[in-house]
Amino acid sequence: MKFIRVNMTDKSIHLEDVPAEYQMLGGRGLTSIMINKDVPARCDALGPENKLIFSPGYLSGTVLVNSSRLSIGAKSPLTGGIKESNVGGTVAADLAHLGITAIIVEGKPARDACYLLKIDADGGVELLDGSVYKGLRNYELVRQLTAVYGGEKSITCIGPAGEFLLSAASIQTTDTDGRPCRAAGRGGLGAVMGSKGLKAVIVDRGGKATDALVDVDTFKASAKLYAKAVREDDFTTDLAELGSAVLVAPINAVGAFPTRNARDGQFEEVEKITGETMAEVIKERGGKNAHMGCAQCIIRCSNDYVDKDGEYVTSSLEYETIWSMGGMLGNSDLDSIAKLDFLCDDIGLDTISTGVAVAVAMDAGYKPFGDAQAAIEMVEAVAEGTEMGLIIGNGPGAVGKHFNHDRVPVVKNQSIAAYDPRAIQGMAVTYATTPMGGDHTAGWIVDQNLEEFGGTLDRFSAKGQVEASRDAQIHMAAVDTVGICDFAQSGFGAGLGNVCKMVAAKLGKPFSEDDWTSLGTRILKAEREFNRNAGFTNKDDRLPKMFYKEPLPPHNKVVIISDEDMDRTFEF
Amino acid sequence: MKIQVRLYGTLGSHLPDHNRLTGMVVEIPEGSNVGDLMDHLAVSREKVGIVTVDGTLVKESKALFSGDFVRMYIPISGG
Repeated sequence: MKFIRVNMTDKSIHLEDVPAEYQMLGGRGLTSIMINKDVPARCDALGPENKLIFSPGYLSGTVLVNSSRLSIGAKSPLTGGIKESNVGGTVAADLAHLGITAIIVEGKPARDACYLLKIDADGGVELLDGSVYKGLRNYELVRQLTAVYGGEKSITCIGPAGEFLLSAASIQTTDTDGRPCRAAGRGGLGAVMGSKGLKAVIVDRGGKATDALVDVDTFKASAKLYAKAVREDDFTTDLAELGSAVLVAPINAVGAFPTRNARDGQFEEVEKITGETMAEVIKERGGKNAHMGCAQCIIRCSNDYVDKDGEYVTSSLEYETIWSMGGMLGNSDLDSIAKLDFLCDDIGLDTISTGVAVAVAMDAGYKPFGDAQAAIEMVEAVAEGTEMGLIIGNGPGAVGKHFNHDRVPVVKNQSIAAYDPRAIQGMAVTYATTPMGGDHTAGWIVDQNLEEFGGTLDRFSAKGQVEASRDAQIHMAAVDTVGICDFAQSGFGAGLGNVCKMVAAKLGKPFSEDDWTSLGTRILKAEREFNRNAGFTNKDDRLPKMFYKEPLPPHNKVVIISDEDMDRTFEF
Repeated sequence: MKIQVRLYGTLGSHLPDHNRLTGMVVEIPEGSNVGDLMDHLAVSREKVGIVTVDGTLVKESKALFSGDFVRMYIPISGG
């Protein structure tokens, strides 16, 4: 268990034992609690006082399946509040196998500096001059770094968008095949990495210094039960066959698929972009469905999308991107959606924020909806650094300001995701109140809102939505701390107590279900406190006017959660 | 009567005549409802999330008529 502290001002590197207060933390719990404690809330997110923290989940690197999740935290240049964005691939397992609890990057180098942070299996950590890699897009960067440093590495990096310090910039990381196609997309953390002059973090794979478990037998028995529950869940099979795009058809069917910048809840051309269509196209062309993108994954929701000649286009084409670059733009051309996904990974952009930024530009009349070529040009323009490119790269809020257009579906300046809150009221609460800004993973209660999916809430009613969102947000804060993949939550079918047993078996102390809830609550309180100190008030926990005023076809509902209800979410 | 059916996700995997992109046409007795159609297709209820008939969300008791287009979707989770 160690921290690697890297100061980019004086280029010093210190290895530290993990202090007692962080001993049972990892992932989001660690990043958020440390940021709240050590980063001045009103600091410049791109200045020397901000810290960029990389932390594998508490259970990453163990034998538990689907546990290679890396949390990246900082003050967000997009929202101005605290941010944790997590990502799969292999890097979380790789860091944990080296016994690294967190990498803390602080300070700021001279402008235009460009460094690589290299972490070796023997414990060596060094900052290397990376100026020759400056300006490279992610795929070419990884190709060159792999040629120089060898193949058995995970590479976590930024593209031109991060170097340009744009607020929609992602941090990309490599998948099991060594491609930089996994994104910590939300919150503009790529810009924070860019501000630190850090182009890439290169980590040796296959380390042998994983933190010891206190009770190995109990851990293994619980991990086995967890894996069994994941394997036996019906949705696991659907995810393998169709990827997360399996969600396109049902969410559209219930009228909650925001279309043409959320003017409609259903896309009339949806059949061209469903998971079913995507999987058939991939199969016919010789691509890969059921691809294993992340270390220790037994679900395999990833895919390799290929073109008509069978050549690689992107990995992995996901639900949220099919929405942001598809339905949201009125674009039913799957090949262009795949191309846009690749461009975002290559340039280093969040596909959600970027797609929604393009959607706002189209809504403002800059280009017509459905013009896929115009969307490609707008995203390419980000890498070229043109005026319009820089506006797109700063996200939907920046585009709205530029065009003086008020239909901008953001909360705390971060775009919502692919579930319209007017058709699923519970998501209105999550989007509005999570300290992360518009974000679906912070408290995904879509299933609870749909009776047909086993839910108990009326999706058009306010009743019970605050409580459901609050409980989900507390739970997810803990899930993001232990580092379990969102799609592997089916493993909780073996019981929350089973997961707690694994935490206890690593910790060497009892860890109860109440402790799980306390952990989630503690993290949310820290995040909320940071945002308050940064200047946020209850008024920031609101959706934009369009969701309260414009009825969404086909159900023609608006968001009806009152301000008072929104304000009750954090009463705990 | 003839009904057009499309099963999403992996719901239709056990039906050799079901095409994932176009579905299939089935012949069921007049007066059948959605639940009867599920029985006919041997699709278990716990594996079905939502059902639409000609784009409208319906319950199992919804009566079907010749020429209806029924779509069945899997329950979803995750995020």
